[in-house]
Amino acid sequence: MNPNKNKMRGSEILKGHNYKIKDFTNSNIAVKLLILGFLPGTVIYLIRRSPFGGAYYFGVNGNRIALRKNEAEAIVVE
Amino acid sequence: MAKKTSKYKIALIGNPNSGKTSLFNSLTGMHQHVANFPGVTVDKKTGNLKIDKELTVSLIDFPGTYSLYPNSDDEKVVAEILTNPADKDYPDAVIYIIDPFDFKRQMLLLTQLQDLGLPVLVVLTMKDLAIKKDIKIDIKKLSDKIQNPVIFFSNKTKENISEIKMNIRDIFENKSKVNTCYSLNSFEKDIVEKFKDKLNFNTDYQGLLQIHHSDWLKYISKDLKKEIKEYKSKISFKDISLQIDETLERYRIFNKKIKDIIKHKNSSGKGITDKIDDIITHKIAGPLIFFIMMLFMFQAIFSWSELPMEWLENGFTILSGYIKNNFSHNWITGLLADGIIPGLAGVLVFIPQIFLLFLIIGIMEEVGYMSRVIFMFDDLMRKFGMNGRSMISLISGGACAVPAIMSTRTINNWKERLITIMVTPLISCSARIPVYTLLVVFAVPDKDIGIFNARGLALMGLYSMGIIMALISSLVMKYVIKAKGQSYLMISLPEYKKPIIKNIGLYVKEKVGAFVFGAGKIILMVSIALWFLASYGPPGALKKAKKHAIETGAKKNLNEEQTLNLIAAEKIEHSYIGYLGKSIEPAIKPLGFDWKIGIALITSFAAREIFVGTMATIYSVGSTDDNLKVSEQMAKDVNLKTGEKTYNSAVAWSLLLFYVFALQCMSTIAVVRKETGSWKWPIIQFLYMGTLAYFFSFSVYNFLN
Repeated sequence: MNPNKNKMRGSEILKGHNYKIKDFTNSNIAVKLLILGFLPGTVIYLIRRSPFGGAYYFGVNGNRIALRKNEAEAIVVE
Repeated sequence: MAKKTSKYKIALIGNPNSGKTSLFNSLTGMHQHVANFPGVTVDKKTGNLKIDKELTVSLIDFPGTYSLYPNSDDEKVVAEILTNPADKDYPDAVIYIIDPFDFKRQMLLLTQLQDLGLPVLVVLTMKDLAIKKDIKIDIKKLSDKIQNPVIFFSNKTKENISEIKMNIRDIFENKSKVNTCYSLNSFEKDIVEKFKDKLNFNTDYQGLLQIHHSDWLKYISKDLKKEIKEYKSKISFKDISLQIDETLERYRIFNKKIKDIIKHKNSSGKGITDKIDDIITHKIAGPLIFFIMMLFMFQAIFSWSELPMEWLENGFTILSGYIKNNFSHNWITGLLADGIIPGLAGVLVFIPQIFLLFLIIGIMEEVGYMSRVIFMFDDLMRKFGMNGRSMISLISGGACAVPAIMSTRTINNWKERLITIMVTPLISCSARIPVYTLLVVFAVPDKDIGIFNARGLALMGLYSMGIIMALISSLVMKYVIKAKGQSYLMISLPEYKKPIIKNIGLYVKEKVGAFVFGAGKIILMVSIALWFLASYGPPGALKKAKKHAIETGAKKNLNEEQTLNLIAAEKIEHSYIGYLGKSIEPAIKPLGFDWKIGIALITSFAAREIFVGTMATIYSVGSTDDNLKVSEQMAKDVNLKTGEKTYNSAVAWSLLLFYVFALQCMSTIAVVRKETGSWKWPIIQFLYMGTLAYFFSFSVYNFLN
């Protein structure tokens, strides 16, 4: 599977692949993500999920940032 | 900049974890003043920095913030002040602190500050670490591009402090020019123009922010808020999409500017932080490591603090005895020896434990571990209506609920914060330990079950019950408390770094201070009040009691000391507090408590451990230095009517559970009142915890009896 071909949500991305942020679905969350460096065009990858599965540990723009599921869902990647 | 004030104000601003507090500590030393920003419980730290003989500036450490579009109360404080030139904390200049590992993202707030028209000195921190990691930053080029002076600072060597001072002097000698980044679009310009006469701002961007945030900014009048709101909807001013556009535009501008300025060594391999996180945030190992660490932490705290606590206790007993023996007996020495000194002792003996706990939490915070804890447990805690940040408060509650409740300020969602505040006192704190250890003797026989001691297991059970009940209560409150407001995790997981001792020192100082001045004041006041209630009674009652005690002593051939102790016991029975204890007896009888326990329940409102001291007085032991003596006397106590022992295991369990659940602590009530801003929540908390206590005590007493 080549993940670069499909549009998907930040909550669906697989470990070990790099994705590109395309867009956001929720502007209330988007403004906050932008401030943290989640910009359209930047590379995002999943480092791991939390022990109970509800939080995501991402690498973005050289930063490590943890998001909740609903926050990750608001990111459209490809 | 042509202000004539002798003292300039400089704001320290930066993202959370940017090394801002370290720089503040380096610049001001230990001479800091901590207060609250007006109207909110957000810490405001100020300190002085001497630039040269003539110029001393005042530094204000602002809460860490990502942008001037705030997401939390802390960030709101920053926006509230920086958008209002009339604010008394409005700075004359800004020192903007940047963490070089996370350089790009932090440019956003820098450009916003520039557009406020404030002179900015940029300080990059962690120079030593950056060199170690082979991060190369072209400082001169950066300074040229952003048109602000830039200093690369190392907290270790502190070699650039003089450079920082020089630059500050330059700012105030008008050598620095103010530059801008973002230009308002025509739509934004129009609305700023429209309200120009009604708002007070220095730059158009400041005006735009005022209009953006108008619905919650405190300095904008109600009428104006309404007017702006109506106008916004008329021209369909879309706050969010405009903010998105502005943010993207800023990124576009500065990304172009700072290209090629920062060079990371090719970091395709895993860094230390990633390797550590592989283990420490691992699905299974992560939580396991956390719980083992917590277990060791509390074990260490209790064993290390035992000795200093003993010294403190003995010291106070000696002091109290010295005053009694060497000064004439009047009400002043009585108040001092039996009211104030034991009250102070009640506060100070807990300092070793609280110091150690916050030392360890401080280290975990400083190295960067705490944000991992928040990440790992956020979703679990959310199921209970709290969030990842609640973990830190609940752990702190194991020492003392007062600083623990204060630490909930980092929780940005009100409902989650409130629930954390409401359940934190259910975690067994240090003050419950003396009560538990005294009573567990009556509750459980001293024998081994397998490899464990039965009493040790009982103590562990009591702790667990507190924790389980905290979780159940929070689950209930999650469905009962109605409060709106969005909740976010969005937390940065910084690089692990070596802790800076000074920062930890200041953190511990702040927390211990919160305990001493927050809880201590109240413990002392209540102790004094209780001393009055215990030393005075209805007219004539005390004299009669004394006479009766002396007669009994003579009849029973007691020696002088025993007689004195008997007098003390009879006196307290006939004092106001004795009558109080008797008057509540009907209410606590179903729990198996008599009026003597009633007295101790009342006195332990100052702090739970006072229960032990009161028991000592009631059972005429005289002093509290010997726990064994107290329990021996309690063991001898026999109910006159039934002939049974007062402290059988049913009563002891009932009392133990009462102390697990009841909010027997004035200081906690006071701090909850302060943090929630009303009496409503402490009253609800007192009642629900009281109900739990009553229910469980009643059940266990009737079950065992």
